[in-house]
Amino acid sequence: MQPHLHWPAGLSFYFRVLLPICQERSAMIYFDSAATTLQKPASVPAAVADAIHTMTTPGRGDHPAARLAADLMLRCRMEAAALFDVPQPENVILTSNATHALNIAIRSLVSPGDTVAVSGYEHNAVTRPLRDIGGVVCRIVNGRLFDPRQMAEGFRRAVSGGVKAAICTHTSNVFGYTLPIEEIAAICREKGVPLIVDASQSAGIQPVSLRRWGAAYVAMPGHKGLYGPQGTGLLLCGEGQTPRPLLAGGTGSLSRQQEMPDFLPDRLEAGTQNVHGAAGLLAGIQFVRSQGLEKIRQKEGEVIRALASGLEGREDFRVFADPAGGGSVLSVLPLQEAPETLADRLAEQGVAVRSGLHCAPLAHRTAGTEDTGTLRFSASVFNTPEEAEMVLRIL
Amino acid sequence: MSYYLLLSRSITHAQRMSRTLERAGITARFFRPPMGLTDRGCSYAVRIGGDYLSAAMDCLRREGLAPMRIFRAAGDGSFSEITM
Repeated sequence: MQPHLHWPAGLSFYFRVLLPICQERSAMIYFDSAATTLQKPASVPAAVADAIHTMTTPGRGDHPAARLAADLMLRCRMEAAALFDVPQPENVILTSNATHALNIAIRSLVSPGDTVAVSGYEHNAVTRPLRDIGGVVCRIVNGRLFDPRQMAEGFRRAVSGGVKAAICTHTSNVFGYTLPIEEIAAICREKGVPLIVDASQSAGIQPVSLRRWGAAYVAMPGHKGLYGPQGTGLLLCGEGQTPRPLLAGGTGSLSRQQEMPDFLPDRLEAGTQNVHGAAGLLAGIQFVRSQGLEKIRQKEGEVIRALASGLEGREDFRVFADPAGGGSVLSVLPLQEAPETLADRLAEQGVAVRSGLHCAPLAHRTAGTEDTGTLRFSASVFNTPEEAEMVLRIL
Repeated sequence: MSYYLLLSRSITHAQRMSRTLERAGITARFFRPPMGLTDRGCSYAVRIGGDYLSAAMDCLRREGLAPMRIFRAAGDGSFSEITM
C-alpha cells in the first residue's frame, strides 16, 4: 500500500517545508565535515532508500530480502577491505560509529591496572573508555603540533616494558595534524605492542593500511570522510586478535551455543544490523574509491590552504596551520572575540563551523588551547576555494 | 542426483565460498542446511554438484576458505559426512 500523500498536500508540503530546506542547504557554506559530512554523493541517499524498500536482515531468513541484505553487507565489507588493505572481509566489522569501534578495541586489549601509551592528541572516544576501565595508567606522548619526528621519538620512549597497548589518532580532529603513524606502527611492531589507530579523520582522505601497519585494530566512522550515513562505522581487526564483544545476542549462527561465536564478523555483530546504513556506507566508500584519495586530499587541501593563507599574518587570529600544507582541517583562535561568538556570527551568515574543545580536551591541553578552545574549519571534497574566499570576506 | 553440502561457520564464510566457486565456474548456492547437520544450531552451507567436490576443495583451500564439514546427499534425502 502506498503512503497517503494526496497531491495538494504533497505539493504544499514540498513548497512549505522541503523547498526552503533545500534552498537553505544550497546556500550554506559547510565547513564542519570533521564532525559529519553534510553533502553526500547522490548515490548515498539513493542506496539507503533502495535498501529500506528491498532489504531485511542477513543471517536470519533465507528469502530474497534477506539474501539481498547479506549480499550488501558482504560487498560493504569487501569494498572497505579493498580501501583499507584488510586481508579478509570478515575482519571488517560494521559498528554504529568510531566510538563504538574504539570501545571494542580498547576493552579487548586493556584491563584495569594496565599501562598504555597514547598520543597527546586523542579524542574523548579514546580517553573516556580508558578512564571507564579504571586504574589504567596512561603514558601520554606529548609533542609539538606538526612535529611528527618529536611524536615518533616520544612513542619510542613510551612504548616499552609493561605497556599493554599503544593508541594513536591518525589525524587530530582539532588541528588536522597527521601523526607519523607509519613510524609509530613500526615501533609497536618492533616492540611487540598492539596498536590501536583512530582513523576517524583520515579514513577516506589519507591512505589507511591495516596490513602494512600491522595494527591490532583500526577504528573509523562512516559519516565523515567516507560520506556514509550517521550510525555507521567500521572496526578493522588485525590478524590473530580475539576481540571482546561489547554486546552479546543473536547472530543467526551457532544458535544452540550460548557463548558468542569465536569467529568474525559474528562475534562482534550481535542483534539486527544497520543494513540500510551499510547500504549508504557502501555507496560512500565506492564514491571515495572512484574519486581517489589523492584527488580528495588535493581538493580539500586547496580549500584549507586558501583559508589559512587568508588568515595568517592577521593580528586578530592565531592560526594553527600545518607548515607542510594540505590537510582537511584548520583550527584558528580569534583573539578579539570568543570562538563561540564568531561561530555564531558565521552561522548567521550561512557558514557552518565548529567551536569549543571538539571533544578532545587532551589535544587542546597538548597544544595550549584548553582554556579557549578553537574555531575549526573542516572541508570535504564538495568544498571549493571560492567558498573559502567568501568566508574570508566575512571574517 | 547426488550433491555435496559444504558447511560454513558463518553466512559471510558461506557467501565467500559461494562467490569463489562461482568465479571458478562451479555452480554453488549458499543456503540454510537442515538443522540436523549442525550440532551447534543455525548455520549456512554451500551446495555443489556431485562431480565437483575435488575441484571445489582445491579452489577453496587455495583461498583459505575450507568448509567446516562436508556432507554427501544421497538420493533418498539422507546425508552422510565425509572427510577429505
